[in-house]
Amino acid sequence: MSYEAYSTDDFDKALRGLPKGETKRVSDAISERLCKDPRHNTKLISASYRGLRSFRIGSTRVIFLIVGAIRAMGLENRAAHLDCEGLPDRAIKLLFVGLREDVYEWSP
Amino acid sequence: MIQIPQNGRTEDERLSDFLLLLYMIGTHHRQSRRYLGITKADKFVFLAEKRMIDNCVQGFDYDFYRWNFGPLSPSIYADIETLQKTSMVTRGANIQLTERGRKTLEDCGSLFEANQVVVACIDEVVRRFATKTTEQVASHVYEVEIEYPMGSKKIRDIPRGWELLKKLPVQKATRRFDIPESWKETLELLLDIEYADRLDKTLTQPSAAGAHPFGGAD
Repeated sequence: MSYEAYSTDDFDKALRGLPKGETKRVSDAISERLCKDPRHNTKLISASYRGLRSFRIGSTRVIFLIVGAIRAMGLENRAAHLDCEGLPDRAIKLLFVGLREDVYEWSP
Repeated sequence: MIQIPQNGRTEDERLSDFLLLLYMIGTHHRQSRRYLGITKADKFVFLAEKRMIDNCVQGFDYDFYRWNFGPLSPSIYADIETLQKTSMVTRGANIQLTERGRKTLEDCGSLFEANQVVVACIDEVVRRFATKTTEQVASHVYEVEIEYPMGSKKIRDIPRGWELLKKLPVQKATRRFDIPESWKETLELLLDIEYADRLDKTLTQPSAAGAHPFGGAD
């Protein structure tokens, strides 16, 4: 059983702002891969991003959360982006998308 | 002309070098208001890494060569530049943490706690030399003895271009600076300043609270 995907207005705007072709590629990856298993091939992130996960599609990175996981961690409502009111446990909330930079290219 | 080679570091090694360098800069400024230029930072890393290697601890992964003012690692220069590009430290001769650098160190507090054996080597060097001038630190480093063919030799007596310190091979390390997967992704994100800035801005918007069914690329 796959997960339902929800997005914020800011996510939609950022998705539309991606380079031509990338918008559809990312959108397809979310629907076809991320929603099937949001823990597979995604990474938890730490520090002030606690509870959020990162999903990479080539040079694009999507930041999202799994609603059930946020509730289990007791993080719901700790910040605006962690608000999951009305969303089912088996849902993901898409928060941000953008092109990432290869930080390792800077230092040999 | 003598060419100093760049050492090949893995992505993990580069990430821990960035973080430990940032930690070293932060610790220095907590203990002393003295000037911290690239030459002094370079010597601090050398002393800390030597201590790590002597204790079979893998932390810093720089290779050092004998150069004009003692040990030098070109990768430290590249890493400081990266920390400047990512607004973790100030641009200019006196290297200081920016607000972003301070916040990153604060965020990574638990990572340093989990790697006490490694950061203790940095703490020890900083505690001993933070209040010294660059010249005093350099003078001390010149007197450090390292292995040399036919016995050991003081650094000041070693010819320019000679390899002084090589990063500890993984198989020789009994302890290493361990960065869990979730932290690796977080650090990569934090070092990607443009992405991190936009993400932070988005997450603090009140509109980040609401969500609607994802409509795809439509």
